[in-house]
Amino acid sequence: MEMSTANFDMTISTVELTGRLDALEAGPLREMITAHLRIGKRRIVVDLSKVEFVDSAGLAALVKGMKDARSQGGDLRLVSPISPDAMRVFELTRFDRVFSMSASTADALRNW
Amino acid sequence: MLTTELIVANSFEAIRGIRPWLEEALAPAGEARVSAAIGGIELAVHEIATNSIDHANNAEDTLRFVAETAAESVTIRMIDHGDCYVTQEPLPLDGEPRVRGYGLLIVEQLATSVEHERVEQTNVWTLTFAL
Repeated sequence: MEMSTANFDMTISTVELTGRLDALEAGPLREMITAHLRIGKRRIVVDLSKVEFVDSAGLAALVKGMKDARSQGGDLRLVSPISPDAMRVFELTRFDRVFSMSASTADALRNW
Repeated sequence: MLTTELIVANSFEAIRGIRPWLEEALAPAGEARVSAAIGGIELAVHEIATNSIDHANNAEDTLRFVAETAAESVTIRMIDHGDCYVTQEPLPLDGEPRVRGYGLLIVEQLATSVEHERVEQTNVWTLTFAL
């Protein structure tokens, strides 16, 4: 999996992922989110549009990030995966109703 | 009926081999059926394998998968030599979202049947899917 980040202002950052978000990659993602929160980036957008597969371990990294961000007065929003194989885990666990999920990073950042 | 087998190391990296193995194992069902079903089957088998790596303390250090593919269904068994384990937590809308423990919940929604047996010192998971 590849990860790239960008900063929009003092409190917002975006993370774009490509490839597979599974148990092998969940740890590095969790560490990256924690690092962003530690420097005050409490509003985070994770772009999953290019991710091909997400399992429950990848989901767990995102849920942990969302809970940690919300506990600091922020949030972790998602750009929805295009791949049905990546979207499936959110639908099966109903986390598609818990996360704010948008069609693009611009949509996710709107009104934030 | 086609029977195929996959043996991989007990690691998150090695279980990425499940997808290419499934593409071969499901082939007799035909491209259209495989295309529609393989994503869900991969996720379910992947979740069972991840649970084993996380919870079974697998002394044999391998996971064995056996697929029996018929025209309209596939049965997949996963065997490990670890401890007995079953984990499940409630859906997120039932209360405060939990971070982990959704694997078996996912599997049960994707498979038409899910069985766990303790056979001597092994865990045997049997998943059946419609094709």
